[in-house]
Amino acid sequence: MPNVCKESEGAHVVLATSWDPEHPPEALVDGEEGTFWSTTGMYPQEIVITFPAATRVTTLETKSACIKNIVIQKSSNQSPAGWDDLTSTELTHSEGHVQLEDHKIDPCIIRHIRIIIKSGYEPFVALYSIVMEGTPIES
Amino acid sequence: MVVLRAKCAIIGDQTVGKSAVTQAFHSDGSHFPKAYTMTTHPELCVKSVNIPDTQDSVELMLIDLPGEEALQENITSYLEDCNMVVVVFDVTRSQTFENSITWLNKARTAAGASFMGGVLLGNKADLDARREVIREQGEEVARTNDLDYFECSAKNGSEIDTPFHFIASMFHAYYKDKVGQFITMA
Repeated sequence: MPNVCKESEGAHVVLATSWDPEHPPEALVDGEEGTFWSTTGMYPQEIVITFPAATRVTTLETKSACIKNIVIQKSSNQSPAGWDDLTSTELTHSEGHVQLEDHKIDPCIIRHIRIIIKSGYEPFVALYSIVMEGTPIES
Repeated sequence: MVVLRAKCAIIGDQTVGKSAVTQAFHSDGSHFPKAYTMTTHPELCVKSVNIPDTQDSVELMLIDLPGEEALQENITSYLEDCNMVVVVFDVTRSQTFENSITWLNKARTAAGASFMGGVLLGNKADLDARREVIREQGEEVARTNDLDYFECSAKNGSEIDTPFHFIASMFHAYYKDKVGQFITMA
């Protein structure tokens, strides 16, 4: 199944609390491994990504650096509201390495996804990519 | 151009001039509170600082904390996730200088992983005749505690901006360094 959390699949960022033009929120969905969204100070930080259609998602993986507590929520509404928690995780920190996390989720229908970074091991964190395997549901 | 946001606590003993320093900096030197009012609650003000030779700026969220002993109850919650501190003491009262490291340690502990350092700031430097702490002593204590040392006079408005511009630049440099690491990690 393809990764639906990519610009080429129609996913796009609708909100982000940090914006560095060199490491913009769009880096999360550009499909490239090396680019990232960096937070620019203080917590919490959040980012909301919207899919072009309601999508049945079966897996959710994140690639990040220096994140401590991360909460991921979903909404299946037309507009990004009415959030339900998908996962709430404390990631482990290993100096100088990225964090690859396979968030165990039950298959569900998602239209919008919201990632909240509650705390970090450093004043700044990076989120490189979100891989979500799924298929859009015909509407 | 990026706008960074830093949480910065102004700490130190009562009546050393934390609020006066904060307000003088915040108002670009136009406001010095002539009559003393005790700060009973943490007060927040925001000031943006441009980083020289870049298009970047740092928004300092300055939290002016009460110095009075009886008002310390909830202070740790305000210090949580704090990035930097400005530890203020009064150069005419050596006791306030001695207590400044206690303040620093308290902040460092409460701030946790977000903490990156700060400055030790001797205020009331205009009162030279009554000075009890000399610059060299200040520099020495700052050095052993990984801080940088500055002196100012909130009353005269002299050297008020310098310590704040310093911490803003420090925050900016830290960010650039971190982002560099994120690039190599990928």
